[in-house]
Amino acid sequence: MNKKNDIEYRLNQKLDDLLDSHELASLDAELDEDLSMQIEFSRYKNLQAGLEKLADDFPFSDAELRASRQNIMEAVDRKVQAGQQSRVLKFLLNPRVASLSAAAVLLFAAVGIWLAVSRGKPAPGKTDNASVAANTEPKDSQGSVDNTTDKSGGNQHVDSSQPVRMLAVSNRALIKSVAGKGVAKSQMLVSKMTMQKMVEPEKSPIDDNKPGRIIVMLSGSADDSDKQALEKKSRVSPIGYWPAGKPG
Amino acid sequence: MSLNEQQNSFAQSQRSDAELVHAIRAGDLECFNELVCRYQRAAVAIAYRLLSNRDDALEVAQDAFLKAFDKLASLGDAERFGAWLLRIVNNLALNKRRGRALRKTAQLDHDSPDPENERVFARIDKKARTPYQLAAEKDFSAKLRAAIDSLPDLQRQALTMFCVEKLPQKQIADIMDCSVEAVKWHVFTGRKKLKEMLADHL
Repeated sequence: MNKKNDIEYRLNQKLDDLLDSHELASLDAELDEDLSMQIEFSRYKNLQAGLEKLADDFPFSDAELRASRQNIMEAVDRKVQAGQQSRVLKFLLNPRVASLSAAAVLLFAAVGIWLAVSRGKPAPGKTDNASVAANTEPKDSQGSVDNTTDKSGGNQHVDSSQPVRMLAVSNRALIKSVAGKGVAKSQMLVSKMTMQKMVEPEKSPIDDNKPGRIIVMLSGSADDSDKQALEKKSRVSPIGYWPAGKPG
Repeated sequence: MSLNEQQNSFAQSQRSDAELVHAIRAGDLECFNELVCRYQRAAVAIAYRLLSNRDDALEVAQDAFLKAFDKLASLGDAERFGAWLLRIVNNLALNKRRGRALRKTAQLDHDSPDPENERVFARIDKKARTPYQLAAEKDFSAKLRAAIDSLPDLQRQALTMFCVEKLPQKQIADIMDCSVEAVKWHVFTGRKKLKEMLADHL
Protein backbone atom coordinates (compact mmCIF):
# COMPACT_ATOMS: atom_id res chain seq x y z
CA MET A 1 0.00 0.00 0.00
CA ASN A 2 1.51 3.34 -0.97
CA LYS A 3 1.51 6.35 1.31
CA LYS A 4 -1.47 8.10 -0.26
CA ASN A 5 -3.52 4.99 -0.06
CA ASP A 6 -2.49 4.48 3.54
CA ILE A 7 -3.56 7.99 4.46
CA GLU A 8 -6.83 7.60 2.62
CA TYR A 9 -7.47 4.32 4.36
CA ARG A 10 -6.80 5.77 7.77
CA LEU A 11 -8.99 8.75 7.01
CA ASN A 12 -11.82 6.55 5.92
CA GLN A 13 -11.33 4.35 8.93
CA LYS A 14 -11.58 7.36 11.17
CA LEU A 15 -14.70 8.51 9.37
CA ASP A 16 -16.18 5.04 9.65
CA ASP A 17 -15.45 4.94 13.36
CA LEU A 18 -17.22 8.26 13.72
CA LEU A 19 -20.09 6.98 11.63
CA ASP A 20 -20.22 3.87 13.76
CA SER A 21 -20.41 5.94 16.93
CA HIS A 22 -22.87 8.43 15.40
CA GLU A 23 -20.45 11.34 15.81
CA LEU A 24 -19.94 12.11 12.18
CA ALA A 25 -21.99 15.28 12.32
CA SER A 26 -19.58 16.83 14.77
CA LEU A 27 -16.67 16.33 12.41
CA ASP A 28 -17.50 19.31 10.24
CA ALA A 29 -16.47 21.78 12.86
CA GLU A 30 -13.21 19.99 13.54
CA LEU A 31 -11.98 19.99 9.97
CA ASP A 32 -9.29 22.51 9.09
CA GLU A 33 -9.31 24.74 6.06
CA ASP A 34 -7.42 22.30 3.86
CA LEU A 35 -9.26 22.31 0.54
CA SER A 36 -8.29 18.79 -0.43
CA MET A 37 -9.56 17.50 2.88
CA GLN A 38 -12.81 19.35 2.39
CA ILE A 39 -13.22 17.92 -1.09
CA GLU A 40 -12.49 14.44 0.16
CA PHE A 41 -14.89 14.86 3.03
CA SER A 42 -17.51 16.29 0.71
CA ARG A 43 -17.22 13.29 -1.58
CA TYR A 44 -17.43 11.02 1.42
CA LYS A 45 -20.56 12.77 2.65
CA ASN A 46 -22.20 12.72 -0.78
CA LEU A 47 -21.52 9.06 -1.20
CA GLN A 48 -22.73 8.33 2.30
CA ALA A 49 -25.89 10.36 1.64
CA GLY A 50 -26.51 8.34 -1.50
CA LEU A 51 -25.98 5.10 0.37
CA GLU A 52 -28.31 6.19 3.16
CA LYS A 53 -30.96 7.03 0.62
CA LEU A 54 -30.79 3.44 -0.48
CA ALA A 55 -31.95 2.49 3.00
CA ASP A 56 -35.25 4.19 2.17
CA ASP A 57 -35.58 1.83 -0.72
CA PHE A 58 -37.38 -0.93 1.13
CA PRO A 59 -40.18 -1.94 -1.22
CA PHE A 60 -41.97 -4.29 1.15
CA SER A 61 -45.33 -3.40 2.63
CA ASP A 62 -46.38 -4.43 6.12
CA ALA A 63 -48.94 -6.78 4.58
CA GLU A 64 -46.23 -8.53 2.58
CA LEU A 65 -44.02 -8.91 5.62
CA ARG A 66 -47.00 -10.18 7.65
CA ALA A 67 -47.85 -12.72 4.95
CA SER A 68 -44.24 -13.81 4.84
CA ARG A 69 -44.21 -14.21 8.63
CA GLN A 70 -47.36 -16.30 8.39
CA ASN A 71 -45.73 -18.49 5.75
CA ILE A 72 -42.71 -18.95 7.98
CA MET A 73 -44.79 -19.92 11.00
CA GLU A 74 -46.95 -22.31 8.97
CA ALA A 75 -43.83 -23.96 7.61
CA VAL A 76 -42.46 -24.19 11.15
CA ASP A 77 -45.71 -25.78 12.33
CA ARG A 78 -45.51 -28.31 9.53
CA LYS A 79 -41.93 -29.06 10.46
CA VAL A 80 -42.87 -29.57 14.09
CA GLN A 81 -45.76 -31.87 13.18
CA ALA A 82 -43.61 -33.81 10.75
CA GLY A 83 -40.98 -34.10 13.45
CA GLN A 84 -43.53 -35.46 15.92
CA GLN A 85 -44.82 -37.96 13.37
CA SER A 86 -41.34 -39.11 12.55
CA ARG A 87 -40.62 -39.49 16.26
CA VAL A 88 -43.76 -41.60 16.67
CA LEU A 89 -42.83 -43.63 13.60
CA LYS A 90 -39.32 -44.07 14.90
CA PHE A 91 -40.74 -45.19 18.24
CA LEU A 92 -43.07 -47.69 16.58
CA LEU A 93 -40.32 -49.00 14.34
CA ASN A 94 -38.13 -49.64 17.34
CA PRO A 95 -37.60 -53.41 17.25
CA ARG A 96 -38.50 -53.87 20.91
CA VAL A 97 -41.70 -51.81 20.64
CA ALA A 98 -42.65 -53.49 17.36
CA SER A 99 -42.23 -56.99 18.80
CA LEU A 100 -44.23 -56.08 21.92
CA SER A 101 -46.98 -54.56 19.76
CA ALA A 102 -47.12 -57.63 17.54
CA ALA A 103 -47.34 -59.88 20.59
CA ALA A 104 -50.16 -57.80 22.03
CA VAL A 105 -52.07 -57.89 18.74
CA LEU A 106 -51.67 -61.65 18.49
CA LEU A 107 -52.82 -62.06 22.08
CA PHE A 108 -55.92 -59.96 21.50
CA ALA A 109 -56.68 -61.84 18.28
CA ALA A 110 -56.36 -65.17 20.04
CA VAL A 111 -58.63 -64.05 22.88
CA GLY A 112 -61.17 -62.71 20.37
CA ILE A 113 -61.22 -65.93 18.41
CA TRP A 114 -61.54 -68.00 21.58
CA LEU A 115 -64.44 -65.87 22.78
CA ALA A 116 -66.18 -66.03 19.40
CA VAL A 117 -65.82 -69.81 19.23
CA SER A 118 -66.80 -70.51 22.81
CA ARG A 119 -69.83 -68.21 22.81
CA GLY A 120 -70.99 -69.01 19.30
CA LYS A 121 -71.63 -65.40 18.46
CA PRO A 122 -72.06 -64.40 14.86
CA ALA A 123 -69.63 -62.10 13.23
CA PRO A 124 -70.54 -58.48 13.91
CA GLY A 125 -71.89 -56.31 11.14
CA LYS A 126 -73.94 -58.97 9.41
CA THR A 127 -77.44 -57.73 8.75
CA ASP A 128 -80.58 -59.64 9.48
CA ASN A 129 -82.03 -59.49 6.04
CA ALA A 130 -78.76 -60.51 4.53
CA SER A 131 -78.76 -63.58 6.73
CA VAL A 132 -82.22 -64.54 5.65
CA ALA A 133 -81.53 -63.92 2.01
CA ALA A 134 -78.25 -65.75 2.12
CA ASN A 135 -79.87 -68.98 3.15
CA THR A 136 -79.52 -70.72 -0.16
CA GLU A 137 -78.08 -73.95 1.00
CA PRO A 138 -79.64 -77.21 -0.14
CA LYS A 139 -82.66 -78.38 1.74
CA ASP A 140 -80.99 -81.50 3.07
CA SER A 141 -78.41 -79.42 4.87
CA GLN A 142 -81.03 -77.40 6.71
CA GLY A 143 -82.13 -80.03 9.20
CA SER A 144 -85.26 -82.10 9.15
CA VAL A 145 -88.90 -81.83 10.19
CA ASP A 146 -90.05 -83.91 13.07
CA ASN A 147 -93.66 -84.82 12.40
CA THR A 148 -94.43 -85.62 16.01
CA THR A 149 -96.43 -82.46 16.11
CA ASP A 150 -98.35 -81.89 19.26
CA LYS A 151 -101.95 -81.35 18.24
CA SER A 152 -103.32 -80.89 21.70
CA GLY A 153 -103.92 -77.21 21.19
CA GLY A 154 -102.34 -74.22 22.81
CA ASN A 155 -99.21 -72.49 21.61
CA GLN A 156 -96.59 -74.52 19.86
CA HIS A 157 -92.89 -74.15 19.29
CA VAL A 158 -90.90 -74.68 16.17
CA ASP A 159 -87.41 -75.92 16.76
CA SER A 160 -84.80 -75.53 14.06
CA SER A 161 -81.67 -77.51 13.59
CA GLN A 162 -80.19 -74.61 11.65
CA PRO A 163 -79.51 -71.99 14.32
CA VAL A 164 -76.91 -70.23 12.30
CA ARG A 165 -79.52 -69.23 9.76
CA MET A 166 -81.53 -67.59 12.44
CA LEU A 167 -78.91 -66.15 14.66
CA ALA A 168 -78.95 -62.78 13.09
CA VAL A 169 -82.64 -62.71 12.41
CA SER A 170 -84.26 -60.21 14.72
CA ASN A 171 -87.86 -60.29 15.84
CA ARG A 172 -88.86 -57.59 13.48
CA ALA A 173 -87.15 -59.12 10.47
CA LEU A 174 -88.58 -62.57 11.05
CA ILE A 175 -92.11 -61.34 11.58
CA LYS A 176 -91.77 -59.12 8.55
CA SER A 177 -90.50 -61.97 6.41
CA VAL A 178 -93.13 -64.41 7.61
CA ALA A 179 -96.22 -62.36 8.29
CA GLY A 180 -98.04 -61.21 5.24
CA LYS A 181 -96.46 -63.87 3.13
CA GLY A 182 -98.81 -66.69 3.89
CA VAL A 183 -98.97 -66.68 7.66
CA ALA A 184 -101.46 -64.36 9.27
CA LYS A 185 -99.83 -62.10 11.80
CA SER A 186 -102.51 -62.88 14.33
CA GLN A 187 -101.63 -66.52 14.13
CA MET A 188 -98.00 -65.96 15.00
CA LEU A 189 -97.62 -65.24 18.66
CA VAL A 190 -93.97 -64.81 18.72
CA SER A 191 -93.20 -63.49 22.12
CA LYS A 192 -90.27 -61.27 22.74
CA MET A 193 -88.92 -63.59 25.35
CA THR A 194 -89.05 -66.52 22.98
CA MET A 195 -87.36 -64.54 20.30
CA GLN A 196 -84.65 -63.61 22.75
CA LYS A 197 -84.08 -67.29 23.05
CA MET A 198 -83.95 -67.49 19.30
CA VAL A 199 -81.02 -65.21 19.09
CA GLU A 200 -79.37 -66.78 22.07
CA PRO A 201 -79.32 -70.40 21.03
CA GLU A 202 -76.91 -71.36 23.75
CA LYS A 203 -79.69 -70.66 26.20
CA SER A 204 -82.21 -72.73 24.31
CA PRO A 205 -84.13 -74.92 26.77
CA ILE A 206 -84.62 -77.63 24.13
CA ASP A 207 -82.60 -80.80 24.43
CA ASP A 208 -81.06 -80.10 27.80
CA ASN A 209 -79.97 -76.60 26.91
CA LYS A 210 -77.98 -77.86 23.99
CA PRO A 211 -76.68 -74.89 22.00
CA GLY A 212 -77.74 -74.35 18.48
CA ARG A 213 -81.49 -74.47 18.66
CA ILE A 214 -84.02 -71.82 17.74
CA ILE A 215 -87.52 -71.55 19.04
CA VAL A 216 -90.46 -69.81 17.44
CA MET A 217 -93.76 -69.79 19.30
CA LEU A 218 -96.87 -70.19 17.14
CA SER A 219 -100.48 -69.55 17.94
CA GLY A 220 -102.48 -72.57 18.99
CA SER A 221 -104.83 -72.02 16.10
CA ALA A 222 -102.05 -72.38 13.56
CA ASP A 223 -102.52 -75.38 11.35
CA ASP A 224 -100.07 -77.34 9.24
CA SER A 225 -100.36 -74.97 6.27
CA ASP A 226 -99.35 -72.07 8.51
CA LYS A 227 -96.39 -74.03 9.77
CA GLN A 228 -95.37 -74.94 6.26
CA ALA A 229 -95.70 -71.31 5.22
CA LEU A 230 -93.56 -70.32 8.19
CA GLU A 231 -90.98 -72.89 7.29
CA LYS A 232 -90.98 -71.74 3.71
CA LYS A 233 -90.90 -68.05 4.34
CA SER A 234 -88.44 -68.12 7.18
CA ARG A 235 -86.41 -70.72 5.37
CA VAL A 236 -85.91 -72.55 8.61
CA SER A 237 -86.53 -76.25 8.70
CA PRO A 238 -88.20 -77.19 11.97
CA ILE A 239 -87.45 -80.50 13.55
CA GLY A 240 -90.32 -80.56 15.97
CA TYR A 241 -93.34 -78.87 17.57
CA TRP A 242 -94.05 -78.72 21.21
CA PRO A 243 -96.87 -77.44 23.36
CA ALA A 244 -96.39 -73.98 24.70
CA GLY A 245 -95.35 -75.08 28.12
CA LYS A 246 -92.64 -77.52 27.15
CA PRO A 247 -89.63 -75.40 26.21
CA GLY A 248 -89.89 -73.00 29.11
CA MET B 1 -35.69 3.73 11.26
CA SER B 2 -32.43 1.86 10.59
CA LEU B 3 -32.09 -1.82 11.39
CA ASN B 4 -29.81 -1.07 14.28
CA GLU B 5 -32.31 1.31 15.87
CA GLN B 6 -35.13 -1.13 15.28
CA GLN B 7 -33.21 -3.96 16.91
CA ASN B 8 -32.34 -1.77 19.87
CA SER B 9 -35.98 -0.84 20.39
CA PHE B 10 -36.93 -4.51 20.32
CA ALA B 11 -34.21 -5.40 22.77
CA GLN B 12 -35.33 -2.72 25.17
CA SER B 13 -39.00 -3.59 25.12
CA GLN B 14 -38.99 -7.35 24.99
CA ARG B 15 -37.32 -10.46 26.21
CA SER B 16 -33.73 -11.07 25.17
CA ASP B 17 -32.84 -13.26 22.24
CA ALA B 18 -31.35 -15.82 24.59
CA GLU B 19 -34.57 -16.09 26.60
CA LEU B 20 -36.58 -16.54 23.44
CA VAL B 21 -34.20 -19.14 22.05
CA HIS B 22 -34.36 -21.12 25.29
CA ALA B 23 -38.16 -20.94 25.25
CA ILE B 24 -38.24 -22.19 21.65
CA ARG B 25 -35.99 -25.06 22.56
CA ALA B 26 -38.49 -25.87 25.32
CA GLY B 27 -41.26 -26.02 22.72
CA ASP B 28 -42.76 -22.53 22.78
CA LEU B 29 -43.27 -21.75 19.09
CA GLU B 30 -44.79 -18.36 19.83
CA CYS B 31 -41.34 -17.19 20.86
CA PHE B 32 -40.03 -18.04 17.42
CA ASN B 33 -42.76 -15.84 15.99
CA GLU B 34 -41.42 -13.07 18.22
CA LEU B 35 -37.91 -13.59 16.89
CA VAL B 36 -39.24 -13.53 13.34
CA CYS B 37 -40.98 -10.22 14.05
CA ARG B 38 -37.78 -8.89 15.56
CA TYR B 39 -35.42 -9.79 12.73
CA GLN B 40 -37.61 -10.07 9.67
CA ARG B 41 -37.01 -6.56 8.45
CA ALA B 42 -33.26 -6.87 8.88
CA ALA B 43 -33.20 -10.21 7.13
CA VAL B 44 -35.33 -9.04 4.22
CA ALA B 45 -33.39 -5.78 3.92
CA ILE B 46 -30.00 -7.46 3.81
CA ALA B 47 -31.24 -10.04 1.33
CA TYR B 48 -32.74 -7.29 -0.79
CA ARG B 49 -29.56 -5.21 -0.74
CA LEU B 50 -27.55 -8.19 -1.84
CA LEU B 51 -30.00 -9.55 -4.40
CA SER B 52 -31.80 -6.42 -5.64
CA ASN B 53 -34.92 -8.50 -6.19
CA ARG B 54 -38.03 -8.39 -4.00
CA ASP B 55 -39.22 -11.95 -4.48
CA ASP B 56 -35.77 -13.43 -4.07
CA ALA B 57 -35.24 -11.36 -0.94
CA LEU B 58 -38.47 -12.57 0.69
CA GLU B 59 -37.73 -16.14 -0.30
CA VAL B 60 -34.18 -16.02 1.06
CA ALA B 61 -35.38 -14.46 4.32
CA GLN B 62 -38.01 -17.18 4.75
CA ASP B 63 -35.50 -19.91 3.98
CA ALA B 64 -33.09 -18.38 6.45
CA PHE B 65 -35.66 -18.39 9.26
CA LEU B 66 -36.60 -21.99 8.55
CA LYS B 67 -32.97 -23.01 8.43
CA ALA B 68 -32.37 -21.18 11.69
CA PHE B 69 -35.29 -23.01 13.27
CA ASP B 70 -33.93 -26.34 12.08
CA LYS B 71 -30.44 -25.64 13.36
CA LEU B 72 -31.41 -23.82 16.54
CA ALA B 73 -30.03 -26.65 18.64
CA SER B 74 -26.60 -26.05 17.15
CA LEU B 75 -26.53 -22.37 18.15
CA GLY B 76 -24.00 -22.18 20.94
CA ASP B 77 -24.47 -18.65 22.27
CA ALA B 78 -28.21 -17.99 22.21
CA GLU B 79 -27.64 -14.28 22.75
CA ARG B 80 -26.04 -14.06 19.33
CA PHE B 81 -29.10 -15.32 17.51
CA GLY B 82 -29.42 -12.11 15.48
CA ALA B 83 -25.92 -12.17 14.07
CA TRP B 84 -26.21 -15.90 13.47
CA LEU B 85 -29.48 -15.50 11.60
CA LEU B 86 -28.18 -12.63 9.49
CA ARG B 87 -25.12 -14.70 8.66
CA ILE B 88 -27.46 -17.38 7.33
CA VAL B 89 -29.31 -14.72 5.34
CA ASN B 90 -26.00 -13.42 4.03
CA ASN B 91 -24.81 -16.87 2.97
CA LEU B 92 -28.11 -17.84 1.37
CA ALA B 93 -28.28 -14.54 -0.50
CA LEU B 94 -24.71 -15.02 -1.67
CA ASN B 95 -25.51 -18.53 -2.90
CA LYS B 96 -28.64 -17.27 -4.61
CA ARG B 97 -26.72 -14.48 -6.27
CA ARG B 98 -24.06 -16.85 -7.51
CA GLY B 99 -26.70 -19.25 -8.82
CA ARG B 100 -28.46 -16.41 -10.52
CA ALA B 101 -25.23 -15.19 -12.06
CA LEU B 102 -24.73 -18.63 -13.49
CA ARG B 103 -28.21 -18.67 -14.95
CA LYS B 104 -27.76 -15.07 -16.10
CA THR B 105 -31.33 -14.21 -15.34
CA ALA B 106 -32.40 -10.66 -15.79
CA GLN B 107 -33.04 -8.46 -12.80
CA LEU B 108 -36.19 -6.61 -13.58
CA ASP B 109 -36.83 -4.91 -10.31
CA HIS B 110 -34.68 -1.90 -11.01
CA ASP B 111 -36.43 -1.40 -14.33
CA SER B 112 -39.88 -1.90 -12.91
CA PRO B 113 -41.54 1.50 -13.03
CA ASP B 114 -44.29 1.15 -10.48
CA PRO B 115 -42.45 0.75 -7.17
CA GLU B 116 -39.95 3.39 -8.14
CA ASN B 117 -42.68 5.79 -9.10
CA GLU B 118 -44.34 5.21 -5.77
CA ARG B 119 -41.11 6.05 -4.01
CA VAL B 120 -40.66 9.15 -6.16
CA PHE B 121 -44.16 10.31 -5.32
CA ALA B 122 -43.49 9.66 -1.65
CA ARG B 123 -40.44 11.87 -1.83
CA ILE B 124 -42.42 14.61 -3.52
CA ASP B 125 -44.84 14.56 -0.64
CA LYS B 126 -42.12 14.59 1.96
CA LYS B 127 -39.54 16.97 0.68
CA ALA B 128 -41.22 18.88 -2.14
CA ARG B 129 -38.23 18.49 -4.46
CA THR B 130 -38.31 19.71 -8.02
CA PRO B 131 -38.82 17.13 -10.74
CA TYR B 132 -35.27 17.79 -11.93
CA GLN B 133 -33.87 17.05 -8.47
CA LEU B 134 -35.97 13.94 -8.20
CA ALA B 135 -34.84 12.73 -11.58
CA ALA B 136 -31.24 13.41 -10.67
CA GLU B 137 -31.64 11.57 -7.37
CA LYS B 138 -33.26 8.66 -9.08
CA ASP B 139 -30.50 8.57 -11.66
CA PHE B 140 -27.81 8.71 -9.00
CA SER B 141 -29.51 5.99 -6.93
CA ALA B 142 -29.73 3.73 -9.95
CA LYS B 143 -26.06 4.28 -10.75
CA LEU B 144 -25.09 3.75 -7.14
CA ARG B 145 -27.01 0.49 -7.00
CA ALA B 146 -25.41 -0.67 -10.21
CA ALA B 147 -22.00 0.26 -8.85
CA ILE B 148 -22.65 -1.61 -5.60
CA ASP B 149 -23.80 -4.63 -7.59
CA SER B 150 -20.53 -4.65 -9.45
CA LEU B 151 -18.44 -4.79 -6.26
CA PRO B 152 -16.89 -8.06 -5.11
CA ASP B 153 -19.09 -10.03 -2.67
CA LEU B 154 -17.24 -9.19 0.55
CA GLN B 155 -17.00 -5.49 -0.20
CA ARG B 156 -20.63 -5.31 -1.23
CA GLN B 157 -21.76 -7.14 1.91
CA ALA B 158 -19.67 -5.03 4.26
CA LEU B 159 -20.54 -1.74 2.57
CA THR B 160 -24.25 -2.52 2.39
CA MET B 161 -24.55 -3.62 5.99
CA PHE B 162 -22.42 -0.80 7.34
CA CYS B 163 -23.31 2.18 5.17
CA VAL B 164 -26.86 1.36 4.17
CA GLU B 165 -28.26 -0.73 6.99
CA LYS B 166 -26.08 0.97 9.63
CA LEU B 167 -25.24 -2.20 11.47
CA PRO B 168 -22.34 -1.92 13.92
CA GLN B 169 -18.98 -3.07 12.62
CA LYS B 170 -18.78 -5.69 15.36
CA GLN B 171 -22.08 -7.22 14.32
CA ILE B 172 -21.07 -7.15 10.67
CA ALA B 173 -17.89 -8.96 11.62
CA ASP B 174 -20.02 -11.60 13.35
CA ILE B 175 -22.28 -11.92 10.34
CA MET B 176 -19.43 -12.14 7.88
CA ASP B 177 -17.44 -14.34 10.21
CA CYS B 178 -14.36 -12.16 10.02
CA SER B 179 -12.54 -9.57 12.14
CA VAL B 180 -13.67 -5.99 12.63
CA GLU B 181 -10.50 -4.88 10.89
CA ALA B 182 -11.44 -6.94 7.86
CA VAL B 183 -14.85 -5.31 7.83
CA LYS B 184 -13.25 -1.88 7.91
CA TRP B 185 -10.97 -2.83 5.07
CA HIS B 186 -13.80 -4.17 2.94
CA VAL B 187 -15.82 -1.01 3.57
CA PHE B 188 -12.86 1.15 2.71
CA THR B 189 -12.00 -0.63 -0.52
CA GLY B 190 -15.65 -0.85 -1.50
CA ARG B 191 -16.20 2.82 -0.90
CA LYS B 192 -13.05 3.73 -2.77
CA LYS B 193 -14.23 1.79 -5.80
CA LEU B 194 -17.61 3.44 -5.61
CA LYS B 195 -16.00 6.87 -5.52
CA GLU B 196 -13.99 5.99 -8.59
CA MET B 197 -17.01 4.64 -10.43
CA LEU B 198 -19.20 7.58 -9.45
CA ALA B 199 -16.56 10.30 -9.66
CA ASP B 200 -18.69 12.39 -12.00
CA HIS B 201 -21.65 12.33 -9.64
CA LEU B 202 -19.99 13.10 -6.31
